Amino acid sequence: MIAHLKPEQSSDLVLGSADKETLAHLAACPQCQAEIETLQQTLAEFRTAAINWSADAAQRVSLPKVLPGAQQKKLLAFPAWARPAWALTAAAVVLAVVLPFAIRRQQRRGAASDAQAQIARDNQLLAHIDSEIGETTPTPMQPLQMTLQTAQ
Amino acid sequence: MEQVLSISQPVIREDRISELEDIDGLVARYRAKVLRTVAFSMGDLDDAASITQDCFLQAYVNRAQYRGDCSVSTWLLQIAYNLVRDRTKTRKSQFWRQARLQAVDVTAAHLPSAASSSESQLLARERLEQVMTTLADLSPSQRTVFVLRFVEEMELTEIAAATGMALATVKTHLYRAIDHVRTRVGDAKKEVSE
Repeated sequence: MIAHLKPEQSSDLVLGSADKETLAHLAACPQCQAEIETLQQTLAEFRTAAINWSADAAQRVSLPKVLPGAQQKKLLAFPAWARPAWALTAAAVVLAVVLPFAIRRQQRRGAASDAQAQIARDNQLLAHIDSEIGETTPTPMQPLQMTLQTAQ
Repeated sequence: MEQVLSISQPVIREDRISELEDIDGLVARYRAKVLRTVAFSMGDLDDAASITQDCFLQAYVNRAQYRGDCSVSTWLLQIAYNLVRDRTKTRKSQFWRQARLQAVDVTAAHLPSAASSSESQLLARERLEQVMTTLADLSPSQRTVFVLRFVEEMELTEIAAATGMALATVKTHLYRAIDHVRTRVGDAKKEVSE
């Protein structure tokens, strides 16, 4: 059985990068010659058809006209009346970004001072509890203790 | 084939740069070329028209960046390919399966050699349909490479430069496309002869 051209060899032939071995087989094999000829014919037909189609399509579709230089620059540049408005818009954007951060920072500071006051109150309470626990007779039991002492 | 420039060829470089100044001439010369490359990549004529316009606008606005190292044609196709890539990033793959190149039908009334017999016209049409079916199965990038090679007849290195792909990637895309066309056309030929 004859080994015909591999797909890569056919591609190489179409791309014009075939090696000597491939070219030698092509010269000796009518079947591969016919296959490559059909492939090249198909690609050539596609090229012609694509060019013909695009020539028609370019006329059919409306490509909006690109403006000449001076008009183009004018279109892309900010008009004079819009420049102060642009500066104001930029300032508003900066404020909109910066202001929430500033407010949040201020709130955090307030929250920190509140926390310190709470800690002081808690410490005072704990100290009071400690002093209460430190006494031998709890405050509610002191009248009973005094009665017992008097009875003795 | 792209003309390679050296430092001793400033005239060609200057000519290329000045070509961009005449926007109307630029559009007239390259409109069909950019449109067909984009249309085959996108599979949609409206999108292709929009991208073609954006391509010329970008080329004109950014003309100061063009150094004349490659041809104006390659530079335009480079801009067009980047626009196609940006546009296709926003599309889902489902879109591509559905698009199927329906808007780009080269088989209808654009067959070459109109003087040939009706039988050869029929066979040519059949072959073109096989090419279109193959293209519909390829990715937009693969279609672009195929069209740049077989319609614009660009060298592989030029295609790599215009698309920003590695040369090996360009070759892989082309090998795959050629193999599909060869198989489809061969199968269709067998069916006709049987």
